Amino acid sequence: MYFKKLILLFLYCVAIYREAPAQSQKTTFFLQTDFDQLYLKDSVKISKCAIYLTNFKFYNQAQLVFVDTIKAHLVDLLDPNPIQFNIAANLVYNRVVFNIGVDSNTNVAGILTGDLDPRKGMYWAWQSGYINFKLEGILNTKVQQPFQYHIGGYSGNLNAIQTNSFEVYPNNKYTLSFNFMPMLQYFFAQKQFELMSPQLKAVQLAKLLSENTTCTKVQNLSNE
Amino acid sequence: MNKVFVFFILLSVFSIAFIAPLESEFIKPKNFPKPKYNFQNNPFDSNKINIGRALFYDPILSKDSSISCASCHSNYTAFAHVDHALSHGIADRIGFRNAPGLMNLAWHENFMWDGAINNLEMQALAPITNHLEMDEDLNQLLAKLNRSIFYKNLFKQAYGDDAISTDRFLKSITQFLLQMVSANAKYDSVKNGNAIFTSQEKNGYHIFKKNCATCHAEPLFTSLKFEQNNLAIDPNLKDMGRMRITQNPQDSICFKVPTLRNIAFTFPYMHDGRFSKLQDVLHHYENIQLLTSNNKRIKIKLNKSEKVDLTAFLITLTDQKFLFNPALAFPKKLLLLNRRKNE
Repeated sequence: MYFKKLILLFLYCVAIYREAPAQSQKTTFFLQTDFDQLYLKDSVKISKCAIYLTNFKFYNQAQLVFVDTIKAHLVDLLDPNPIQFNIAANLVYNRVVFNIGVDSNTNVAGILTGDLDPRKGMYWAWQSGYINFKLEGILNTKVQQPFQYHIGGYSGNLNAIQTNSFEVYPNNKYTLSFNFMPMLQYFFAQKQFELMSPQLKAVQLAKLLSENTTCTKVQNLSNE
Repeated sequence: MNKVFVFFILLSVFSIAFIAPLESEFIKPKNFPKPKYNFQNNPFDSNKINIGRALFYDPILSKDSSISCASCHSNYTAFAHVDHALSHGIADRIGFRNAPGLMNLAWHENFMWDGAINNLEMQALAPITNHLEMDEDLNQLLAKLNRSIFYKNLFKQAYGDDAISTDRFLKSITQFLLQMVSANAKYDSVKNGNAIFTSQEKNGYHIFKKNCATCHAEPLFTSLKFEQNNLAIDPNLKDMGRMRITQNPQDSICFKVPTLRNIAFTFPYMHDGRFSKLQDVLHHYENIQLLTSNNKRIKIKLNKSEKVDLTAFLITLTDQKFLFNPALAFPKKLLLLNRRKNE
Protein backbone atom coordinates (compact mmCIF):
# COMPACT_ATOMS: atom_id res chain seq x y z
CA MET A 1 0.00 0.00 0.00
CA TYR A 2 2.78 2.35 1.00
CA PHE A 3 4.65 1.44 -2.15
CA LYS A 4 1.60 2.25 -4.34
CA LYS A 5 1.30 5.68 -2.74
CA LEU A 6 4.92 6.30 -3.38
CA ILE A 7 4.50 5.47 -7.06
CA LEU A 8 1.44 7.74 -7.34
CA LEU A 9 3.36 10.56 -5.68
CA PHE A 10 6.22 10.04 -8.07
CA LEU A 11 3.91 10.10 -11.12
CA TYR A 12 2.24 13.26 -9.79
CA CYS A 13 5.60 14.96 -9.42
CA VAL A 14 6.57 13.95 -12.96
CA ALA A 15 3.25 15.34 -14.27
CA ILE A 16 3.78 18.66 -12.46
CA TYR A 17 7.32 18.86 -13.74
CA ARG A 18 6.19 18.25 -17.30
CA GLU A 19 3.42 20.82 -17.08
CA ALA A 20 5.64 23.53 -15.64
CA PRO A 21 6.17 26.14 -18.33
CA ALA A 22 9.75 26.27 -19.48
CA GLN A 23 10.80 29.81 -18.73
CA SER A 24 13.78 31.09 -20.54
CA GLN A 25 15.33 34.27 -21.69
CA LYS A 26 16.77 34.79 -25.10
CA THR A 27 20.03 36.24 -26.12
CA THR A 28 20.37 36.53 -29.84
CA PHE A 29 23.37 37.28 -31.94
CA PHE A 30 22.88 38.55 -35.44
CA LEU A 31 25.98 38.08 -37.46
CA GLN A 32 27.29 40.20 -40.24
CA THR A 33 30.40 41.01 -42.14
CA ASP A 34 31.57 44.54 -42.02
CA PHE A 35 33.24 45.54 -45.25
CA ASP A 36 34.19 49.05 -46.12
CA GLN A 37 31.92 49.54 -49.09
CA LEU A 38 33.65 52.77 -50.06
CA TYR A 39 36.90 50.91 -50.37
CA LEU A 40 35.44 47.90 -52.10
CA LYS A 41 33.12 49.75 -54.51
CA ASP A 42 32.89 47.40 -57.42
CA SER A 43 36.49 46.38 -57.19
CA VAL A 44 35.99 43.35 -54.97
CA LYS A 45 33.34 40.70 -55.21
CA ILE A 46 33.14 38.35 -52.24
CA SER A 47 31.83 34.92 -53.17
CA LYS A 48 32.44 33.01 -49.96
CA CYS A 49 32.74 34.18 -46.40
CA ALA A 50 32.28 31.51 -43.76
CA ILE A 51 33.41 31.31 -40.17
CA TYR A 52 33.37 28.91 -37.24
CA LEU A 53 32.14 30.38 -33.95
CA THR A 54 32.61 27.88 -31.17
CA ASN A 55 32.40 27.20 -27.45
CA PHE A 56 30.02 30.01 -26.45
CA LYS A 57 30.13 30.52 -22.70
CA PHE A 58 28.27 33.06 -20.58
CA TYR A 59 29.71 34.47 -17.40
CA ASN A 60 28.43 36.49 -14.51
CA GLN A 61 31.57 38.34 -13.51
CA ALA A 62 34.09 35.50 -13.32
CA GLN A 63 31.54 32.77 -12.74
CA LEU A 64 30.59 30.51 -15.62
CA VAL A 65 26.79 30.28 -15.73
CA PHE A 66 25.91 28.88 -19.15
CA VAL A 67 27.68 26.75 -21.75
CA ASP A 68 26.27 26.35 -25.25
CA THR A 69 25.52 22.68 -25.91
CA ILE A 70 26.27 23.15 -29.59
CA LYS A 71 30.03 23.03 -29.85
CA ALA A 72 30.41 24.78 -33.17
CA HIS A 73 28.33 27.13 -35.28
CA LEU A 74 29.40 27.36 -38.90
CA VAL A 75 28.13 30.71 -40.15
CA ASP A 76 27.83 31.69 -43.78
CA LEU A 77 28.44 35.40 -43.37
CA LEU A 78 26.98 36.20 -46.79
CA ASP A 79 23.67 34.69 -45.69
CA PRO A 80 23.84 34.44 -41.93
CA ASN A 81 21.26 32.94 -39.62
CA PRO A 82 21.18 34.44 -36.15
CA ILE A 83 22.55 32.37 -33.29
CA GLN A 84 20.09 32.26 -30.43
CA PHE A 85 20.61 30.98 -26.91
CA ASN A 86 17.71 29.96 -24.72
CA ILE A 87 18.99 30.51 -21.25
CA ALA A 88 17.04 29.87 -18.03
CA ALA A 89 15.21 32.99 -16.81
CA ASN A 90 16.89 33.09 -13.44
CA LEU A 91 20.40 33.25 -14.84
CA VAL A 92 22.30 36.48 -14.56
CA TYR A 93 25.20 37.11 -16.88
CA ASN A 94 27.16 40.03 -18.18
CA ARG A 95 29.74 38.54 -20.52
CA VAL A 96 29.94 36.14 -23.43
CA VAL A 97 33.15 34.41 -24.43
CA PHE A 98 33.54 32.46 -27.65
CA ASN A 99 36.17 31.35 -30.12
CA ILE A 100 36.69 32.26 -33.71
CA GLY A 101 37.79 28.86 -34.97
CA VAL A 102 37.86 25.30 -33.77
CA ASP A 103 39.91 24.29 -30.73
CA SER A 104 42.74 21.76 -30.69
CA ASN A 105 40.83 19.02 -28.86
CA THR A 106 38.05 19.13 -31.41
CA ASN A 107 40.57 19.09 -34.24
CA VAL A 108 42.05 15.80 -33.08
CA ALA A 109 38.78 14.17 -32.01
CA GLY A 110 38.20 12.22 -35.21
CA ILE A 111 35.05 12.39 -37.25
CA LEU A 112 32.36 14.75 -35.93
CA THR A 113 28.87 15.59 -37.05
CA GLY A 114 26.67 18.68 -37.43
CA ASP A 115 28.51 21.81 -38.45
CA LEU A 116 31.79 19.96 -37.91
CA ASP A 117 31.02 17.42 -40.64
CA PRO A 118 33.89 17.63 -43.17
CA ARG A 119 31.38 17.71 -46.00
CA LYS A 120 30.55 21.29 -44.97
CA GLY A 121 33.71 22.25 -46.85
CA MET A 122 35.64 23.67 -43.90
CA TYR A 123 38.03 20.78 -43.36
CA TRP A 124 41.48 20.25 -44.81
CA ALA A 125 41.57 16.63 -45.92
CA TRP A 126 45.25 16.61 -46.97
CA GLN A 127 46.23 17.77 -43.51
CA SER A 128 43.81 17.15 -40.67
CA GLY A 129 42.23 20.28 -39.31
CA TYR A 130 39.37 22.70 -39.62
CA ILE A 131 39.52 25.93 -41.55
CA ASN A 132 38.55 28.54 -38.97
CA PHE A 133 37.35 30.99 -41.59
CA LYS A 134 37.30 31.30 -45.33
CA LEU A 135 37.21 34.35 -47.54
CA GLU A 136 37.06 33.96 -51.30
CA GLY A 137 36.24 36.25 -54.16
CA ILE A 138 37.49 38.21 -57.14
CA LEU A 139 39.46 41.42 -57.22
CA ASN A 140 38.58 43.43 -60.30
CA THR A 141 41.66 45.28 -61.41
CA LYS A 142 42.99 45.22 -64.96
CA VAL A 143 42.45 41.49 -64.84
CA GLN A 144 40.03 39.57 -62.74
CA GLN A 145 42.16 38.26 -59.92
CA PRO A 146 40.61 35.48 -57.86
CA PHE A 147 41.62 35.30 -54.22
CA GLN A 148 41.09 32.69 -51.54
CA TYR A 149 42.15 32.79 -47.94
CA HIS A 150 41.59 29.75 -45.77
CA ILE A 151 42.70 30.52 -42.26
CA GLY A 152 43.21 27.75 -39.73
CA GLY A 153 45.71 25.65 -37.81
CA TYR A 154 45.40 24.14 -34.37
CA SER A 155 48.79 22.91 -33.28
CA GLY A 156 51.63 24.63 -31.42
CA ASN A 157 52.56 28.06 -32.70
CA LEU A 158 50.35 27.55 -35.76
CA ASN A 159 47.22 27.52 -33.60
CA ALA A 160 45.05 30.21 -35.19
CA ILE A 161 42.07 30.03 -32.83
CA GLN A 162 41.09 33.38 -31.32
CA THR A 163 39.04 34.02 -28.21
CA ASN A 164 36.71 36.99 -28.05
CA SER A 165 34.86 38.34 -25.07
CA PHE A 166 32.04 40.92 -25.00
CA GLU A 167 29.77 42.50 -22.47
CA VAL A 168 26.23 41.19 -22.96
CA TYR A 169 23.09 41.07 -20.81
CA PRO A 170 19.99 38.84 -20.76
CA ASN A 171 17.09 39.47 -23.12
CA ASN A 172 18.96 41.49 -25.70
CA LYS A 173 19.79 41.20 -29.35
CA TYR A 174 23.31 41.91 -30.45
CA THR A 175 25.11 42.18 -33.73
CA LEU A 176 28.47 40.51 -34.07
CA SER A 177 30.38 42.22 -36.86
CA PHE A 178 33.45 40.74 -38.47
CA ASN A 179 35.50 43.30 -40.28
CA PHE A 180 37.61 41.59 -42.91
CA MET A 181 38.85 44.84 -44.43
CA PRO A 182 42.19 45.03 -42.60
CA MET A 183 42.91 41.48 -43.69
CA LEU A 184 42.01 42.16 -47.31
CA GLN A 185 44.01 45.36 -47.34
CA TYR A 186 47.02 43.49 -45.99
CA PHE A 187 46.80 40.78 -48.63
CA PHE A 188 46.11 43.08 -51.56
CA ALA A 189 48.98 45.36 -50.60
CA GLN A 190 51.27 42.31 -50.60
CA LYS A 191 49.73 41.03 -53.84
CA GLN A 192 49.10 37.76 -52.08
CA PHE A 193 45.98 36.14 -53.39
CA GLU A 194 46.15 32.75 -51.75
CA LEU A 195 46.73 31.50 -48.25
CA MET A 196 45.58 27.94 -47.94
CA SER A 197 47.39 26.21 -45.09
CA PRO A 198 48.27 26.65 -41.43
CA GLN A 199 51.20 29.01 -41.03
CA LEU A 200 52.38 31.87 -38.87
CA LYS A 201 50.88 34.46 -41.20
CA ALA A 202 47.50 32.79 -40.78
CA VAL A 203 47.80 33.18 -37.03
CA GLN A 204 48.58 36.90 -37.41
CA LEU A 205 45.60 37.41 -39.70
CA ALA A 206 43.28 35.50 -37.41
CA LYS A 207 44.37 37.83 -34.66
CA LEU A 208 43.69 40.79 -36.91
CA LEU A 209 40.14 39.58 -37.55
CA SER A 210 39.60 38.96 -33.86
CA GLU A 211 40.72 42.51 -33.06
CA ASN A 212 38.29 43.83 -35.66
CA THR A 213 35.28 41.96 -34.34
CA THR A 214 32.69 43.97 -32.48
CA CYS A 215 29.50 43.27 -30.61
CA THR A 216 26.77 45.92 -30.45
CA LYS A 217 23.38 45.87 -28.83
CA VAL A 218 20.55 46.33 -31.32
CA GLN A 219 17.40 45.59 -29.36
CA ASN A 220 16.07 44.87 -25.91
CA LEU A 221 13.79 41.82 -25.88
CA SER A 222 12.32 42.15 -22.39
CA ASN A 223 9.18 43.86 -23.69
CA GLU A 224 8.54 41.38 -26.51
CA MET B 1 23.05 -39.15 -16.35
CA ASN B 2 21.00 -36.83 -18.55
CA LYS B 3 21.33 -34.02 -16.02
CA VAL B 4 25.11 -34.39 -16.01
CA PHE B 5 25.14 -34.31 -19.80
CA VAL B 6 22.99 -31.15 -19.93
CA PHE B 7 25.21 -29.54 -17.28
CA PHE B 8 28.34 -30.16 -19.36
CA ILE B 9 26.65 -28.91 -22.54
CA LEU B 10 25.67 -25.69 -20.76
CA LEU B 11 29.13 -25.36 -19.25
CA SER B 12 30.70 -25.69 -22.71
CA VAL B 13 28.33 -23.10 -24.17
CA PHE B 14 29.12 -20.63 -21.38
CA SER B 15 32.83 -21.30 -21.69
CA ILE B 16 32.77 -20.60 -25.41
CA ALA B 17 30.69 -17.47 -24.87
CA PHE B 18 33.01 -16.05 -22.26
CA ILE B 19 36.41 -17.33 -23.26
CA ALA B 20 36.34 -17.22 -27.07
CA PRO B 21 36.83 -13.68 -28.32
CA LEU B 22 33.86 -12.05 -29.97
CA GLU B 23 34.29 -11.49 -33.66
CA SER B 24 33.90 -7.77 -33.16
CA GLU B 25 36.17 -7.38 -30.17
CA PHE B 26 39.57 -5.76 -30.48
CA ILE B 27 42.15 -8.13 -29.09
CA LYS B 28 45.41 -6.58 -27.97
CA PRO B 29 48.32 -8.87 -28.70
CA LYS B 30 50.02 -10.03 -25.52
CA ASN B 31 53.35 -8.33 -26.21
CA PHE B 32 51.86 -5.03 -27.47
CA PRO B 33 51.28 -1.80 -25.51
CA LYS B 34 47.84 -0.25 -25.00
CA PRO B 35 46.43 0.98 -28.30
CA LYS B 36 45.98 4.72 -28.89
CA TYR B 37 42.71 4.56 -30.79
CA ASN B 38 39.61 5.47 -28.80
CA PHE B 39 37.41 2.41 -29.30
CA GLN B 40 34.66 3.86 -27.10
CA ASN B 41 33.75 6.33 -29.83
CA ASN B 42 33.51 3.62 -32.44
CA PRO B 43 32.76 0.24 -30.85
CA PHE B 44 33.43 -2.72 -33.09
CA ASP B 45 30.52 -4.26 -34.92
CA SER B 46 30.89 -7.03 -37.49
CA ASN B 47 28.39 -5.33 -39.84
CA LYS B 48 30.34 -2.09 -39.74
CA ILE B 49 33.62 -3.93 -40.31
CA ASN B 50 31.94 -5.56 -43.29
CA ILE B 51 31.03 -2.18 -44.76
CA GLY B 52 34.55 -0.91 -44.21
CA ARG B 53 35.95 -3.95 -45.96
CA ALA B 54 33.63 -3.51 -48.94
CA LEU B 55 34.49 0.18 -49.20
CA PHE B 56 38.24 -0.51 -48.94
CA TYR B 57 38.12 -2.76 -51.98
CA ASP B 58 35.53 -0.80 -53.95
CA PRO B 59 36.69 1.62 -56.69
CA ILE B 60 33.48 3.58 -56.12
CA LEU B 61 35.58 5.73 -53.80
CA SER B 62 37.46 7.30 -56.71
CA LYS B 63 36.09 9.96 -59.01
CA ASP B 64 35.94 7.73 -62.09
CA SER B 65 35.38 4.52 -60.08
CA SER B 66 38.65 3.12 -61.36
CA ILE B 67 40.78 2.70 -58.26
CA SER B 68 40.15 1.58 -54.70
CA CYS B 69 42.18 1.84 -51.48
CA ALA B 70 43.40 -1.67 -52.27
CA SER B 71 44.86 -0.46 -55.57
CA CYS B 72 47.76 0.96 -53.56
CA HIS B 73 47.34 -1.16 -50.42
CA SER B 74 47.29 -4.82 -51.40
CA ASN B 75 46.61 -7.31 -48.62
CA TYR B 76 49.14 -9.80 -50.00
CA THR B 77 51.93 -7.27 -49.49
CA ALA B 78 50.97 -6.12 -46.01
CA PHE B 79 48.79 -3.45 -47.62
CA ALA B 80 51.74 -1.76 -49.32
CA HIS B 81 52.22 -1.17 -53.04
CA VAL B 82 55.14 -3.19 -54.36
CA ASP B 83 54.68 -2.32 -58.00
CA HIS B 84 55.59 1.35 -57.87
CA ALA B 85 57.82 3.73 -56.02
CA LEU B 86 55.03 6.32 -55.78
CA SER B 87 51.31 5.75 -55.39
CA HIS B 88 49.17 5.74 -58.49
CA GLY B 89 45.96 7.67 -58.92
CA ILE B 90 43.11 7.86 -61.39
CA ALA B 91 43.84 8.70 -65.03
CA ASP B 92 47.44 7.47 -64.66
CA ARG B 93 48.32 10.24 -62.25
CA ILE B 94 51.39 9.63 -60.13
CA GLY B 95 51.27 10.51 -56.45
CA PHE B 96 53.76 12.19 -54.21
CA ARG B 97 54.81 9.37 -51.91
CA ASN B 98 55.34 5.64 -51.55
CA ALA B 99 52.16 3.93 -50.29
CA PRO B 100 53.18 2.50 -46.90
CA GLY B 101 52.12 -0.86 -45.52
CA LEU B 102 49.05 -0.72 -43.30
CA MET B 103 49.14 -2.59 -40.02
CA ASN B 104 48.76 -2.04 -36.30
CA LEU B 105 47.13 1.33 -36.96
CA ALA B 106 45.37 1.33 -33.59
CA TRP B 107 48.73 2.18 -32.02
CA HIS B 108 49.37 5.25 -34.15
CA GLU B 109 48.37 8.80 -33.28
CA ASN B 110 49.18 10.33 -36.63
CA PHE B 111 49.36 8.97 -40.13
CA MET B 112 51.12 9.50 -43.47
CA TRP B 113 54.87 9.93 -43.89
CA ASP B 114 54.65 13.47 -42.56
CA GLY B 115 52.01 12.86 -39.88
CA ALA B 116 49.55 15.11 -41.70
CA ILE B 117 46.56 13.14 -40.50
CA ASN B 118 45.84 13.30 -36.80
CA ASN B 119 43.21 10.60 -36.36
CA LEU B 120 42.67 7.26 -38.09
CA GLU B 121 39.03 8.19 -38.71
CA MET B 122 40.12 11.09 -40.93
CA GLN B 123 42.79 9.17 -42.84
CA ALA B 124 40.62 7.97 -45.72
CA LEU B 125 39.67 11.54 -46.63
CA ALA B 126 43.23 12.31 -47.72
CA PRO B 127 43.61 9.83 -50.60
CA ILE B 128 39.94 10.11 -51.55
CA THR B 129 40.13 13.87 -52.12
CA ASN B 130 43.75 14.08 -53.32
CA HIS B 131 43.83 15.19 -56.97
CA LEU B 132 46.71 12.79 -57.68
CA GLU B 133 45.00 9.83 -56.09
CA MET B 134 41.23 9.26 -56.05
CA ASP B 135 40.30 12.90 -56.75
CA GLU B 136 36.76 12.53 -55.45
CA ASP B 137 34.66 15.15 -53.71
CA LEU B 138 33.27 13.98 -50.37
CA ASN B 139 29.75 15.20 -51.15
CA GLN B 140 29.79 13.48 -54.55
CA LEU B 141 31.02 10.27 -53.00
CA LEU B 142 28.33 10.24 -50.32
CA ALA B 143 25.73 10.95 -53.00
CA LYS B 144 27.04 7.96 -55.00
CA LEU B 145 26.89 5.71 -51.95
CA ASN B 146 23.42 6.94 -51.05
CA ARG B 147 22.26 5.97 -54.54
CA SER B 148 23.59 2.44 -54.12
CA ILE B 149 20.98 -0.06 -52.94
CA PHE B 150 23.81 -2.41 -52.04
CA TYR B 151 25.41 0.06 -49.64
CA LYS B 152 22.11 1.35 -48.31
CA ASN B 153 21.23 -2.21 -47.30
CA LEU B 154 24.59 -2.69 -45.64
CA PHE B 155 24.31 0.57 -43.69
CA LYS B 156 20.75 -0.26 -42.64
CA GLN B 157 21.94 -3.58 -41.30
CA ALA B 158 24.77 -1.94 -39.39
CA TYR B 159 23.28 1.35 -38.21
CA GLY B 160 19.54 0.71 -38.06
CA ASP B 161 18.65 2.99 -40.97
CA ASP B 162 20.07 3.39 -44.45
CA ALA B 163 21.41 6.95 -44.23
CA ILE B 164 25.05 7.09 -45.31
CA SER B 165 26.65 10.06 -43.58
CA THR B 166 30.27 11.14 -43.35
CA ASP B 167 30.72 9.78 -39.85
CA ARG B 168 29.13 6.41 -40.59
CA PHE B 169 31.19 6.12 -43.76
CA LEU B 170 34.51 7.03 -42.11
CA LYS B 171 33.88 5.04 -38.95
CA SER B 172 33.12 1.93 -40.98
CA ILE B 173 36.35 2.22 -42.94
CA THR B 174 38.19 2.81 -39.67
CA GLN B 175 36.76 -0.38 -38.20
CA PHE B 176 38.16 -2.35 -41.10
CA LEU B 177 41.56 -0.62 -40.89
CA LEU B 178 41.71 -1.52 -37.20
CA GLN B 179 41.39 -5.20 -38.13
CA MET B 180 44.82 -5.06 -39.75
CA VAL B 181 46.77 -6.29 -36.77
CA SER B 182 50.05 -8.00 -37.47
CA ALA B 183 51.34 -9.77 -34.36
CA ASN B 184 51.85 -13.35 -35.43
CA ALA B 185 55.33 -13.30 -36.89
CA LYS B 186 58.02 -15.73 -35.79
CA TYR B 187 59.42 -12.86 -33.71
CA ASP B 188 56.14 -12.78 -31.71
CA SER B 189 56.18 -16.55 -31.24
CA VAL B 190 59.70 -16.26 -29.85
CA LYS B 191 58.65 -13.42 -27.54
CA ASN B 192 55.67 -15.42 -26.36
CA GLY B 193 57.85 -18.45 -25.68
CA ASN B 194 56.43 -20.58 -28.47
CA ALA B 195 59.45 -20.67 -30.77
CA ILE B 196 63.18 -20.03 -30.75
CA PHE B 197 65.39 -18.07 -33.11
CA THR B 198 68.03 -19.87 -35.15
CA SER B 199 71.56 -18.82 -34.26
CA GLN B 200 71.64 -16.63 -37.37
CA GLU B 201 68.37 -14.92 -36.44
CA LYS B 202 69.56 -14.51 -32.87
CA ASN B 203 72.72 -12.81 -34.02
CA GLY B 204 70.64 -10.66 -36.39
CA TYR B 205 68.39 -9.67 -33.48
CA HIS B 206 71.43 -8.63 -31.50
CA ILE B 207 72.66 -6.49 -34.42
CA PHE B 208 69.18 -5.03 -34.78
CA LYS B 209 68.97 -4.05 -31.10
CA LYS B 210 72.38 -2.45 -31.26
CA ASN B 211 71.86 -0.45 -34.45
CA CYS B 212 68.22 -0.09 -35.43
CA ALA B 213 65.98 -0.43 -32.38
CA THR B 214 66.09 3.23 -31.32
CA CYS B 215 63.94 4.21 -34.27
CA HIS B 216 62.38 0.85 -35.05
CA ALA B 217 61.37 0.20 -31.47
CA GLU B 218 59.84 -3.12 -30.48
CA PRO B 219 57.22 -4.49 -30.53
CA LEU B 220 55.71 -2.24 -33.22
CA PHE B 221 59.14 -1.85 -34.84
CA THR B 222 58.60 1.88 -35.11
CA SER B 223 59.08 4.59 -32.52
CA LEU B 224 56.13 6.34 -34.24
CA LYS B 225 58.36 9.43 -34.32
CA PHE B 226 59.65 11.53 -37.20
CA GLU B 227 63.31 11.18 -38.03
CA GLN B 228 65.79 12.58 -40.49
CA ASN B 229 67.71 9.78 -42.13
CA ASN B 230 69.96 11.76 -44.45
CA LEU B 231 68.22 10.89 -47.66
CA ALA B 232 69.01 13.43 -50.37
CA ILE B 233 66.00 15.49 -51.40
CA ASP B 234 64.54 14.32 -54.69
CA PRO B 235 64.75 17.41 -56.94
CA ASN B 236 61.44 16.58 -58.60
CA LEU B 237 59.42 15.86 -55.49
CA LYS B 238 61.06 18.48 -53.24
CA ASP B 239 59.47 16.68 -50.30
CA MET B 240 60.29 18.42 -47.04
CA GLY B 241 58.55 15.79 -44.94
CA ARG B 242 57.24 16.76 -41.52
CA MET B 243 58.22 20.41 -42.03
CA ARG B 244 55.44 20.67 -44.62
CA ILE B 245 53.03 20.25 -41.71
CA THR B 246 54.71 21.94 -38.78
CA GLN B 247 56.59 24.67 -40.72
CA ASN B 248 59.36 24.05 -38.22
CA PRO B 249 62.84 23.97 -39.86
CA GLN B 250 63.90 21.36 -37.31
CA ASP B 251 61.42 19.00 -38.95
CA SER B 252 62.97 19.47 -42.37
CA ILE B 253 63.13 16.16 -44.29
CA CYS B 254 61.95 14.27 -41.22
CA PHE B 255 59.65 11.38 -42.03
CA LYS B 256 57.67 9.02 -39.88
CA VAL B 257 59.65 5.91 -39.00
CA PRO B 258 57.97 3.03 -40.83
CA THR B 259 57.39 -0.29 -39.16
CA LEU B 260 59.73 -3.13 -40.05
CA ARG B 261 57.01 -5.71 -39.58
CA ASN B 262 56.48 -7.62 -42.83
CA ILE B 263 59.37 -5.70 -44.34
CA ALA B 264 60.16 -8.54 -46.75
CA PHE B 265 56.81 -7.76 -48.39
CA THR B 266 56.63 -3.96 -48.28
CA PHE B 267 59.26 -2.94 -50.83
CA PRO B 268 60.09 -0.46 -52.26
CA TYR B 269 61.42 1.35 -49.22
CA MET B 270 61.57 4.92 -47.92
CA HIS B 271 58.99 7.71 -48.30
CA ASP B 272 59.62 7.97 -52.04
CA GLY B 273 60.22 4.28 -52.67
CA ARG B 274 63.75 4.96 -53.89
CA PHE B 275 65.19 1.65 -52.68
CA SER B 276 63.74 -1.49 -54.13
CA LYS B 277 65.87 -3.92 -52.11
CA LEU B 278 66.55 -4.31 -48.44
CA GLN B 279 70.26 -4.49 -49.24
CA ASP B 280 70.03 -0.95 -50.71
CA VAL B 281 68.53 0.27 -47.43
CA LEU B 282 71.31 -1.31 -45.38
CA HIS B 283 73.87 0.16 -47.75
CA HIS B 284 72.33 3.62 -47.26
CA TYR B 285 72.57 3.36 -43.49
CA GLU B 286 76.18 2.26 -43.68
CA ASN B 287 77.05 5.46 -45.45
CA ILE B 288 75.46 7.98 -43.12
CA GLN B 289 75.71 9.02 -39.52
CA LEU B 290 72.64 8.39 -37.39
CA LEU B 291 71.65 10.29 -34.29
CA THR B 292 70.93 7.97 -31.37
CA SER B 293 68.42 8.54 -28.58
CA ASN B 294 71.19 9.95 -26.36
CA ASN B 295 72.20 12.39 -29.11
CA LYS B 296 75.31 10.52 -30.16
CA ARG B 297 76.17 10.29 -33.82
CA ILE B 298 76.88 6.75 -34.86
CA LYS B 299 77.78 5.07 -38.07
CA ILE B 300 76.46 1.60 -38.69
CA LYS B 301 79.22 -0.72 -39.76
CA LEU B 302 78.25 -4.24 -40.75
CA ASN B 303 80.25 -6.92 -42.52
CA LYS B 304 78.70 -9.16 -45.13
CA SER B 305 77.86 -11.92 -42.70
CA GLU B 306 76.28 -9.49 -40.23
CA LYS B 307 74.09 -8.10 -42.99
CA VAL B 308 72.91 -11.60 -43.80
CA ASP B 309 72.15 -12.25 -40.13
CA LEU B 310 70.28 -8.96 -39.79
CA THR B 311 68.24 -9.79 -42.87
CA ALA B 312 67.47 -13.23 -41.41
CA PHE B 313 66.14 -11.53 -38.29
CA LEU B 314 64.08 -9.05 -40.32
CA ILE B 315 62.45 -11.96 -42.11
CA THR B 316 61.24 -13.24 -38.73
CA LEU B 317 58.96 -10.17 -38.75
CA THR B 318 56.95 -11.69 -41.60
CA ASP B 319 53.44 -12.53 -40.45
CA GLN B 320 51.94 -15.09 -42.80
CA LYS B 321 48.65 -15.19 -40.91
CA PHE B 322 48.26 -11.46 -41.44
CA LEU B 323 49.36 -11.49 -45.07
CA PHE B 324 46.99 -14.25 -46.04
CA ASN B 325 44.16 -13.57 -43.60
CA PRO B 326 40.95 -14.26 -45.57
CA ALA B 327 39.04 -11.81 -43.35
CA LEU B 328 41.20 -8.98 -44.70
CA ALA B 329 41.11 -10.07 -48.33
CA PHE B 330 38.90 -8.89 -51.17
CA PRO B 331 35.31 -9.70 -50.11
CA LYS B 332 34.42 -11.65 -53.23
CA LYS B 333 31.05 -12.87 -52.03
CA LEU B 334 29.97 -9.49 -50.73
CA LEU B 335 31.24 -7.27 -53.53
CA LEU B 336 30.74 -9.51 -56.52
CA LEU B 337 27.78 -11.75 -55.77
CA ASN B 338 25.64 -9.77 -53.31
CA ARG B 339 26.22 -6.49 -55.06
CA ARG B 340 25.20 -7.90 -58.42
CA LYS B 341 22.00 -9.17 -56.84
CA ASN B 342 21.27 -5.74 -55.36
CA GLU B 343 22.10 -3.37 -58.18
